[in-house]
Amino acid sequence: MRTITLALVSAMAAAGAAAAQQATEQYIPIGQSPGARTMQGEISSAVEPASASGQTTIAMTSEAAPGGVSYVVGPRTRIYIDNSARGQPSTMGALADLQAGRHIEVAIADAEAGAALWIKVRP
Amino acid sequence: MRVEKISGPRCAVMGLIMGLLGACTAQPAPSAPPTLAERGREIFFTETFNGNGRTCGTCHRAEDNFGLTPNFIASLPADDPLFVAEINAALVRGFEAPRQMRANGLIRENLDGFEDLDNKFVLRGVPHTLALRTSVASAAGPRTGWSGDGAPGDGSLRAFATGAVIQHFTRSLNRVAGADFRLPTDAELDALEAFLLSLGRQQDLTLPLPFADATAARGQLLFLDNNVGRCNVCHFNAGANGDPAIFGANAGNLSFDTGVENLPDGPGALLGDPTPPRDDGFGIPGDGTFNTPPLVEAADTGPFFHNNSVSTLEVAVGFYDGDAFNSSPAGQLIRQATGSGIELDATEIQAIAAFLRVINALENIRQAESYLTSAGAVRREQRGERLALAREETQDALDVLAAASLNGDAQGDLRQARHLSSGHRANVDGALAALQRARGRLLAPSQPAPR
Repeated sequence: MRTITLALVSAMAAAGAAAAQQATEQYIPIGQSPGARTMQGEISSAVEPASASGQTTIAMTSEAAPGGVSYVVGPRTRIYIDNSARGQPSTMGALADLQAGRHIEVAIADAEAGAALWIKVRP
Repeated sequence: MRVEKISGPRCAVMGLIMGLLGACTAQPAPSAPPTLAERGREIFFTETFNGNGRTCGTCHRAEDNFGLTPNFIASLPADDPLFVAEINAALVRGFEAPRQMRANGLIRENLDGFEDLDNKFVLRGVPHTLALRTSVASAAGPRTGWSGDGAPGDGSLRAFATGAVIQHFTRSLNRVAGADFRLPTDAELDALEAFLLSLGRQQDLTLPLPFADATAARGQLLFLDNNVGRCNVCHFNAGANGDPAIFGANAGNLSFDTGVENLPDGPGALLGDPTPPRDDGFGIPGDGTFNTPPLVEAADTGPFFHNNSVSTLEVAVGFYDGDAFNSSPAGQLIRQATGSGIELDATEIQAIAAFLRVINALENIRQAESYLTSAGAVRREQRGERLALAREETQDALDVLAAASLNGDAQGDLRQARHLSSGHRANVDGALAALQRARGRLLAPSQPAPR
């Protein structure tokens, strides 16, 4: 019993990932994602892809963070183009879509690490 | 009834005359406002969210244990909203797989994204929504849907309906909020969550139970034995959560790759229109895991597993004796931890299934009693519905026992309970008494008839 306990517990330790579904999130307009921890604001400066050793970050200003705040954009961060205001379907985006001055919503996957789970951007 | 409002001096006089019984405004007795769960129920069964005509209840049928079986689908008229992909030109391609739906009860989902609708999809059965209060929570957060990641937003049961509307309610494949559907409001999400949490069991069983049937009793022993059936490790007390003695007190619902996707000759693959792509389970890309469903409700909610690959309870239990499971990551974990895989003979498989059938019947009885008891406290138009649901539960108990020739004496009581809860002059007290007798026969040791 002890053996099975230790083996199963260690196996399950790796299964602590966030459980929110990313596919339908694409079609939820900015500000309407239920229960998600997010920050809305304007992109301060264009996002540059990171160098080989660094992280890619996005800087934004927000009413909730007037001094500005930045988040890590990792390889698993999904970027959505929110076209709902124009009555058009939302699409998947890329770093190039995160241009200065655009309105965005950032969902925070890990508050301590400041990592973005997803970013919605209004074109 | 005509309602007359009385006011002014005449009212004062009337007040003196009528004393304590008097009221200056004569109105019908106010009915209690609907509870949050009742509002959620209304939304669940009637709200289309300005979409294609489907409601939550289109796929989660109350009369089909809040799931959807191929047999039930076969009973539906051609214009049922379930079949919207056969009717609505905008949804003909890439929204459903109609032949798979009709033959195997499979629903098309795009859990890994919507950018390649012809090739990037999965086909899954409709999980019942019973006992969610016991099965969603985990140490890693809420687990919804077959792979635990069914809800957008914060991934909670409350947020689930938002994703369901986008996936299943849309008028077109553009899926534009405000044009193809409207998203649920916060108040609607609150109400839907309350309704969902009100369905079915509110707590897990505490095993072992004293079964009258020897086969079910043996099945329970095998189920609980962590060296034989080992079922209780992941289905603690036949629920959806891991054994807290093994996984920790707050482990809750767990996800595993049990190898169901490796089963040969699944019904979906054999039909092949379309051939189901491999379902990678939790996450994007998926890790192959699916979360653990509760077993108390299993016997009357087949087909089984996320892809409806197995149609009978006995074969579902037998799956864990097969190569697909024992060579899977979960099966290998068992082998590594205990030195052997799960090996069950036919009679042991039958016994475990008998145990699951009896606990399902006991839950049917509990639920039928609940419907019957509440039938007297609801509006007349709801009374008939509650009685009908009580009959459905009673019939389910009969079916799961009769299919394995279990507890014939209890089956007699269940038939009587079903009869007494039928018709305009249903004998609710009599039906409740018959259900109580049936429960007694399932649990108490059988006594020889007196001479």
